[in-house]
Amino acid sequence: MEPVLEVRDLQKYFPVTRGIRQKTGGMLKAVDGISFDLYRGETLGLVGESGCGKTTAGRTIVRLYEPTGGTVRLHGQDIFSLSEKEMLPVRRQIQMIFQDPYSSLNPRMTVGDTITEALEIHGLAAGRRNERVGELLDMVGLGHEMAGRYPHEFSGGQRQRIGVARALAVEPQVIICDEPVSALDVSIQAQVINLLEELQEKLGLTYLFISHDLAVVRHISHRVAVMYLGKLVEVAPSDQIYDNPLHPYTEALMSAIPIPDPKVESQRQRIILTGDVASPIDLPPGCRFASRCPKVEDRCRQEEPAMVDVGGGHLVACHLVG
Amino acid sequence: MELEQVLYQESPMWSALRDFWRLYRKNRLAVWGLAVIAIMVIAAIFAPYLTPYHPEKPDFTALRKPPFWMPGGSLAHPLGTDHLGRDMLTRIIHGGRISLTVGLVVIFFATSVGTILGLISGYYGGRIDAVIQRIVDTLLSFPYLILATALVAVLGPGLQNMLVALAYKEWIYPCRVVRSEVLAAKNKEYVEAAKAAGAGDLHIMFREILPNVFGSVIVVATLRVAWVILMEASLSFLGLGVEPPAPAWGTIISEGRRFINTQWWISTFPGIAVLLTALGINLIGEGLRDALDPRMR
Repeated sequence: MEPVLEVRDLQKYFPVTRGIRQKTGGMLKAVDGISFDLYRGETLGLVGESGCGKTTAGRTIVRLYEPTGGTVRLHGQDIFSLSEKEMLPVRRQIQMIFQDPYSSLNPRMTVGDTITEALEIHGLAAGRRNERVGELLDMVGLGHEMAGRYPHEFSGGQRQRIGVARALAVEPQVIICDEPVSALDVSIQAQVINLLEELQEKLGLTYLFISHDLAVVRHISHRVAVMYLGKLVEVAPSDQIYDNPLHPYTEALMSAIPIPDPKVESQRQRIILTGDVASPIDLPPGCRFASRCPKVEDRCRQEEPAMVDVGGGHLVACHLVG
Repeated sequence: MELEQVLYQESPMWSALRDFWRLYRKNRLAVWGLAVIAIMVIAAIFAPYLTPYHPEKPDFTALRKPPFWMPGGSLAHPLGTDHLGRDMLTRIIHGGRISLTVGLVVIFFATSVGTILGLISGYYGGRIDAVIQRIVDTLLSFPYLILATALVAVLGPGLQNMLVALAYKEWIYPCRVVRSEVLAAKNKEYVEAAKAAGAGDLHIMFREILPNVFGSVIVVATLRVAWVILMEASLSFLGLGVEPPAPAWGTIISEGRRFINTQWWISTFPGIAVLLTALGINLIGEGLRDALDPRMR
């Protein structure tokens, strides 16, 4: 099967500048060479701790940040080589849902205006924009009569639905969900997740679901990619990665998921990581996880492990595996 | 359904204006401010028809008459006359033409230029921001009155030169405020969402960011109108603005200074006019800021 989106060796470095002369004092390697494919209709969960570069990866893929290196192909077309003007049709196909529903909607625009804006930019639904806005609002479960209201009149969950409607306005194929529920109450999280799943089924959407909430990711994702300090360490089908994590970092992550049963929970064996996260500005040679890895060997501090396929679409980058 | 139809028949501009008035009206003081300024503007526009006297011609039969409630005063000159027998009320109404024109022209120019430069400066950042902000710093480091004085001294007194002397520096205030607001607004996710939708820089600057900084722009503009009118009065007071016998408020205050012990009304009434204008405009600004913010509904 042809992937919808192919990401190859994606890199995004931020220059670290100092002083009034803006001298470059090194590069912060937020995303340092990640590769994965997205297939039509699937959800790929991208997980990792704060600061590991998952949000940067998402934003670089849609070119909100200019990439430092690598390629992203949408249906085989390299989108990093396009000019801003040529990007317009691409932007119609890849949309984004943002983390903070309080800052992702312009407080001075009505909900209708916010959604219409995207239609205007792409010249869609000319002559029947109001109807289209109504359709979209109905689709996300808000009701078309909400179009004239301002964002502050809505709750967090409702706002996130508006964000979803805005993303859907241009009929995209791929949606990058950047922590779409982490700012919401748990009870509301489930509603938004269910909405995303429904829409995926109905419209054949493909999601890149960025999150640090492992339980949510397990629920919604077909496959999961684990990121650590700008690199992917493990990619596998959802059940496999949760039941049989191979990378020591993934193992530690999985052991941190609380179990909603006090008896089992008290028996849970947690892997507590010690040591510090390496600095993304001054990366050590070898494996990035070596400074915290409980199973570290000499080799890990010298050679960077490559991603290997251990079968069944399970990829892992660790010297101790395979 | 019927109600909806009725509402939709109204033109959108009218209903927006009516909505706006409904919100503005909530602030009582702002309505008072608007009333005061409206009266002043109307009086200024129709000054020649409202006043029975000539604003500049002396009348030696009615020198230094006190206001009507004082012994010797009469309703023929309700606010009295000055040392050349000119009717005070007439001169203040005519003075309003000059002061309000200066205030509004200078602020209109300064706010347009300052807002656009502030948007560019904050949005693009980097070198262009550094250049604009160093110009602002430079202008900010000169004392307002002294540089305006120097400019008028070089260009010569008069209404036009005073406009230049006030406007060359006035744009930096909206510029600074807009820049800082843009810096805060441009990293909001709604700006990124617009980018992800394919919006260009101009669209983002004027449709996404500008409406969000507009509240501050209006507050700064109204505060500065009052300030510019005071500066105009100061320059005229120092003899650098509108030249006598033309009746700018500052000029009248300056002339009346010599008689402050005996004929206090010559300086006092134009002073009150300055005060009321400044206050009225500030109140309007406050009302506008609140009425334009959708969160206040």
